[in-house]
Amino acid sequence: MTASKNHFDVLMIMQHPPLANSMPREGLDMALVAATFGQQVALLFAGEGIFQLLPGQAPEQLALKGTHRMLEALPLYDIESVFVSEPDLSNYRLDAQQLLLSPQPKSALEIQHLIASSRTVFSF
Amino acid sequence: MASFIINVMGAPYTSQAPHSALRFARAALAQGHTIVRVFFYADGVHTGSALACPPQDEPHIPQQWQTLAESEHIELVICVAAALRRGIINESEAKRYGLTQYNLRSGFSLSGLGQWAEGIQVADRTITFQA
Repeated sequence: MTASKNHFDVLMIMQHPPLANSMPREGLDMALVAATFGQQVALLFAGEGIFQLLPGQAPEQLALKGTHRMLEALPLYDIESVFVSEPDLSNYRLDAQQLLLSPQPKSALEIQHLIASSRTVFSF
Repeated sequence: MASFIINVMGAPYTSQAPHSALRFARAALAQGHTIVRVFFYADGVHTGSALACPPQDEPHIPQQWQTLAESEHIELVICVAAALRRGIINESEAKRYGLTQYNLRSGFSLSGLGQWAEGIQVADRTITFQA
């Protein structure tokens, strides 16, 4: 676990719900390629983006691939810093333990620091 | 003076992103900054269409990008995966997919996300124009 790591080359803030538009997939594509280029990448799931981490989705019913396989591949790309917004978790009455990848909850203040200390920030 | 990579994520005439990015690019160049690359991703790839025909009293955003690229020698890179899904295609990709037509505007090239990943490492600053 890379809980102590606080400086990232690329921070991807994922805030769109799954299976609604191309943002989750295109954001993850960028994250994976950045990691392939040796960049330290972190993901922050916030707002409706949290729903991307809900287990039990059936994208095939919409003839979609979904992003769960990409999410499962993150550790293979050495992307192990996966965060979730704590205020948004509580808004949705969700627990980080229910979510895929067991993301690490971050307070609003910690999110500020995360954004400020990341070299580049992208929002998907 | 700084070097920039500019990311464009929205389609012209749907989003203000390509126009704002164009204005930013001109302003940055006018102040002596350099632009490493402009990377068009997600719906931003539509900026590279050679077939856009906006009304004459509206700015021709794709044409203006092409003009800027040619006069300032700026690399305009369109993400190939995002582009092929959305029907933006060049001659060689059209051949590969057995298509008889193609529509990539002159001044733009199709390439991979590696161009973006390399760009954000070498540029001093990264700026994204979101949809």
